[in-house]
Amino acid sequence: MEYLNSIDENIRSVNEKEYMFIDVFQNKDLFFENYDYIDNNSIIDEKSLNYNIYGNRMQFSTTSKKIVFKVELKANTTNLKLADWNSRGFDVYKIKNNKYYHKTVFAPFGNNNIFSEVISNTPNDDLCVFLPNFMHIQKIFIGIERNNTIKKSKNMNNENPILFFGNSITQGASVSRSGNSYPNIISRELNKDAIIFYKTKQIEINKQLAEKISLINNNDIVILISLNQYLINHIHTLEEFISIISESKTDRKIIFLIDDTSIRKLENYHYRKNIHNRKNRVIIYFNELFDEDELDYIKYDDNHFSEYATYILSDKICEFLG
Amino acid sequence: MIIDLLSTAEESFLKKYAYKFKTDCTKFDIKYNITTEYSRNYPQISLNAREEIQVLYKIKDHWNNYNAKANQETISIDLSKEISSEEHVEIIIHPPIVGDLTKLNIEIPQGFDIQINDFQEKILVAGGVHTYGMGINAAGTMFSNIIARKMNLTPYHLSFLDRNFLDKIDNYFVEDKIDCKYEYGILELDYYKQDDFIVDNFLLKTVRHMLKHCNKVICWYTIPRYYKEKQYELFYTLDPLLNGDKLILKDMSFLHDSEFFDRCTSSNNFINDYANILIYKIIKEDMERLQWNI
Repeated sequence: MEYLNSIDENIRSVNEKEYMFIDVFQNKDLFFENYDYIDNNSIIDEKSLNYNIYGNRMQFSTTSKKIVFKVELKANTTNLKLADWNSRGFDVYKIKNNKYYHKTVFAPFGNNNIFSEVISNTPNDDLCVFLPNFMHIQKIFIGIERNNTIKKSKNMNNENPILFFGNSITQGASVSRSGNSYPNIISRELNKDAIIFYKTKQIEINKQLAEKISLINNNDIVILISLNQYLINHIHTLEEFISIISESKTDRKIIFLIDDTSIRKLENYHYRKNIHNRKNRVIIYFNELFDEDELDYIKYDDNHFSEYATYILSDKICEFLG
Repeated sequence: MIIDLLSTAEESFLKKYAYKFKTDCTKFDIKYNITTEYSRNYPQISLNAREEIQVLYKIKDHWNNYNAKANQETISIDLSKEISSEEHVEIIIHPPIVGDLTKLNIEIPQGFDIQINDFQEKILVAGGVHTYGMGINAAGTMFSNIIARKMNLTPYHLSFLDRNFLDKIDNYFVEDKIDCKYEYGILELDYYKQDDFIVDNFLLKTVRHMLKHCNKVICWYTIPRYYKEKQYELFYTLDPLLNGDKLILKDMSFLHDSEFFDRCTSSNNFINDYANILIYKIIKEDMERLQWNI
């Protein structure tokens, strides 16, 4: 990895003249399967709900044996509490026959926001790069050796992405690398794009959002609800939210994932019984996926899931969506 | 009342990975300092694991994470909703992986009871990068710390961030820095990246040291299949010591198999907390099978 003072500065470790650089954001359709999804679907008014507005991952295929990433991340937005390979990590996979094989992961160190990284490549492999979970990318260029070609990945099949609504857990806090947030794990398992809407604490559980979500067609949806004191005290708000979405006409699958530390307080509420009667709706209670003896390692605090728990949860969601 | 947990701890050359006490007080402060003088890059572990303590409390025989709002100096504990005032609660504090604890005080109001009650039996955990905790997100998810919590053992670490680590472990024994007897020992033998010279000269010696200082020893390794010949070498070398039930050799190489590789590793170099939890489960199963007094 080489750190740069400016994105226009030449990389010293490679001869840039031997490479052709492609501006990723100027060629969104080449790299992102659903780059226009948010623009074309006014699901939520605030774009700030989503970090990578073109998608969580970019895909491509090239004949080049070496690939240069030249990247400028937005300065001073890093979340230093997280592992760098997660918050600012580029997690690279090779895709073969719909299976994903981990290739490498890289991230800049400390306050170095502008950098280049060279990775090796088997010509014509389909590559998938999961982007930083907690840092905006200002600019990103992909360099391939001259006289080589770059094209859309065969894996980009224009399927509707799965939509995830949630909080920092949905965004990927507390996993070790960017590809291991649960939306990204599910996107690999089901080989579909994931579009994530989140707010740091939680998306607002209210009637308006429920009505917007219930209008979404053609997408499977996962909604993480972290039960905070407000929701526990206003359980009718949660019931109404779940009811409106559950009763929407779409036959696509909808999962309500309740990060529930208060399950015994809620399990008798009728919404839970009602939802089980609907074919394509399900509530997953996080704690129910584990033995009581596992409480000390399924979360790092009373909120964020461990990577172990993230994978077990992803398996469960895939079981339903798959 | 201030209880200094560092000064009351038994002296050791090794890093102690769990400080434990029991109290009937539900609101108290943990005041601590951590030195973080390191220049190396650790992209694979979170700041919490690198430089923060992790606090857990025991309720109804199960350990739970305390949602610590830490500022790297004080954690104010309030368990009044979880525990009744008549009960005693057990607390464990795991120090950070990279940073060093230089202060660990419990500040508790007068009139309450506090007992420092380290687990009676000790466990010596020795090895390289996996044992060190590289790749995990919280100190509490290291396999050794889970074993310590669940099996009532006080963990002491002898781990090195070095490709060659067997010689360094050996050195501690040779210099008599391991001066007490441990009930259990866990030794990482991921030696396939170590120089042949180190393995030839220190593998058997290190295992013998462990057997001398620990009543029961588990050696484990996770070696990618394409280094299979290294697994055979390992068995061949350790074979003379594998009679009886004092030493177990556990193969955790499945962590590199396609089914687990993605969810357990960041590369061939680092294992994450998922892998650590699987390692804990396998070791626990063996300890139970052999009825190792747990």
